[in-house]
Amino acid sequence: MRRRLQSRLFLMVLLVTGAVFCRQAWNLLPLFWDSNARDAAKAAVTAVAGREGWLLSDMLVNEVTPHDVRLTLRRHVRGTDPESCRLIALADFSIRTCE
Amino acid sequence: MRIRKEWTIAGSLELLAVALANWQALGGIRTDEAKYLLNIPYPHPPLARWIFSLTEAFPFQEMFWRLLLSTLVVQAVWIVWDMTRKFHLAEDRIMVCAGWLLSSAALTQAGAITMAQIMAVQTLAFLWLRTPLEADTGLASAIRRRPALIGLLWTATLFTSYPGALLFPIAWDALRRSGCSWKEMAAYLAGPAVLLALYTMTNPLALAIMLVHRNEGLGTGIAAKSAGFIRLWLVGGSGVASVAGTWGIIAVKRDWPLLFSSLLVFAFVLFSITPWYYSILFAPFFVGGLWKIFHHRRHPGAFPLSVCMIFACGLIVWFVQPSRTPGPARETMLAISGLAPESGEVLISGPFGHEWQYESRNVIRRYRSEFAKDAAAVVCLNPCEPMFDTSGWKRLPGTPVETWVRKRSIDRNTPDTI
Repeated sequence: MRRRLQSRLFLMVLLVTGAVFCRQAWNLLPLFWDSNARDAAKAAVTAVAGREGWLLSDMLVNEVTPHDVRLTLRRHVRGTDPESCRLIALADFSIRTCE
Repeated sequence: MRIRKEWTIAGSLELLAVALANWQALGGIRTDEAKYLLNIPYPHPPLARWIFSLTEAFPFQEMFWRLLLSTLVVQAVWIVWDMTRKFHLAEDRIMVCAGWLLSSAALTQAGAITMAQIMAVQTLAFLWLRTPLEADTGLASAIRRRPALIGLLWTATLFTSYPGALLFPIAWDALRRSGCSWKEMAAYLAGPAVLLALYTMTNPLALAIMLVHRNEGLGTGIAAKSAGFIRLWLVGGSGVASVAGTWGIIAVKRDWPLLFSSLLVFAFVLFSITPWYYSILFAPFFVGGLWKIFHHRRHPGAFPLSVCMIFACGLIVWFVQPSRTPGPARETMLAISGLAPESGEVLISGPFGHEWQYESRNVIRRYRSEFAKDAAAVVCLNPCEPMFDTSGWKRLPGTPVETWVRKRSIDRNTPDTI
C-alpha cells in the first residue's frame, strides 16, 4: 500500500513537471518539425549575436513563430544575472523588446 | 571503540579531500567549471548546475564546491566499504576500496567542479543498491524497501548529466532487486527519461552543442580516439584496477546489467571528444569488477595487488596531475575590477572561455570597436581590430593580456594621496 502511494506520488511530480516542460517545448515545436523555421531561427540568432556582441550561451530561445524569434537575454555574471526579453524579426533581424 | 576508529578514518579522509580541493584550486577556474557555477544552460540538464548557482552570491563559491565535491568523491569510499561487508578478509575489502580511492582519476579530479565525478558517485550508489544483502538491515536495505528513492536517484542522475542515461541497466537492476513490479519499474525508469526528453526540447542550445560535440567526436581518427580511451582507462583505475576491474566485469560470473552499463559508458568515452575528466567514469565500474573477483572466490593476491596499486597510482598521478598554472582571466579581471565601474561592459576580442565571465564583475560582450564608447574596459586576447579610439583610455601595465580601462574610471577609483 505504501509502495503504491510512493509510486503514485512520484508519477504525479513527474506529470506536473512534464506539463511545465510541455508548455515550453510547444512554443519551440517549429524548430523540430520545420527545417525552414529552424534555419531561419539559427540565422537570426547567430547574426544578432555577431552584430550585438552577445554570447550565444546568454541567448535562450523561448518561442519561434513565422515572423520572429522570442528569446531571453540573460547576461551571466556572478550574482544576479541581468535579464531581458527580446524579439528578433526574421525578415530583417531587427530587435525589439518584448511587450 | 569501532565508532572512534571510523571517525578517525573519516577525519583523515576529510583531510585528504581538503588537500585535493586545494590542489585543484591552484589552477584557477576552468571554462567548464565556470559554466556550471554560473548555471549557463548547456550542455547538461539543469539539476546540479542550478544547485551550484544558488551559491553564486558566496564570495568563496568556487572553493565551497571544490571542497564539497572533493568530500563527496573521497567519502564515497564508505559506499564501497559497505558493498564489501560480506567479505571475510579485510585485505580483500581494502583492495576493492583502493579501486576507488587510489584511482588516479579520483585523486586528480576530486576537487574539480564537473558533472563527471557526480555521475561516478551516482554509479557507485547504483552498484551499492544492487549488492546482495545478507540481512534486512543497513541503509542499502532501507532504501531498497522504498523504490521511489531509487527512482529519485535515477531522476537526479538523468538531470545531472546526459551520460547518466547510460546507467539504465544498473538502475533497472537496482529496482528489480527491490522487488518492483514491471509497472512500477516502467514508471520509475521511463518517467524521468521522458521528462528529460521534454526538458531537452525546451533547450535547443543544449541539443545544438551535443550535435557539435558528436560531430567532433566522430570526426577524430580511430587511432587518436583509441589512444585517448586507453589513457583515460589507465587513469581511471591506476592501471592495476583497470586491468583487474575490466577482467572482473567481463570474465567473472556474468553480471549482465553491470556488463551492459560498463560497455555503454566505455563506448561513450571512446566515441566522445575524451576530455580528461571522463576518466573518473571508469572508476566505479572497476570497483564493480573488483567486487566480483573478490566476492566469488577467496583471492590470495589482494595484498600484493594493493601494494602494486599504491605504486601505480603514485606514478600515474605524477604524470596526470592537475594544472597549477591559472589562466590569465583572474589576474586580468582583478586588475580591471579595481578600476572600472561595475555598470559598464567589458569587451573581449578573440575567443574566450566562461572563466572570463566568472571572474568578471561586469557583463561581458564580444569586442567591436563601436561598442567601446559605452564600455568600462577592453581586453584584447587577439588584436583588437579595428582598434578603437584609445584617447581617454589607459593601457594597464602588468596584466597578462592587453587590457584597456577608461581613464576617468581610473581617476575616480584611485584613492587621493594624503
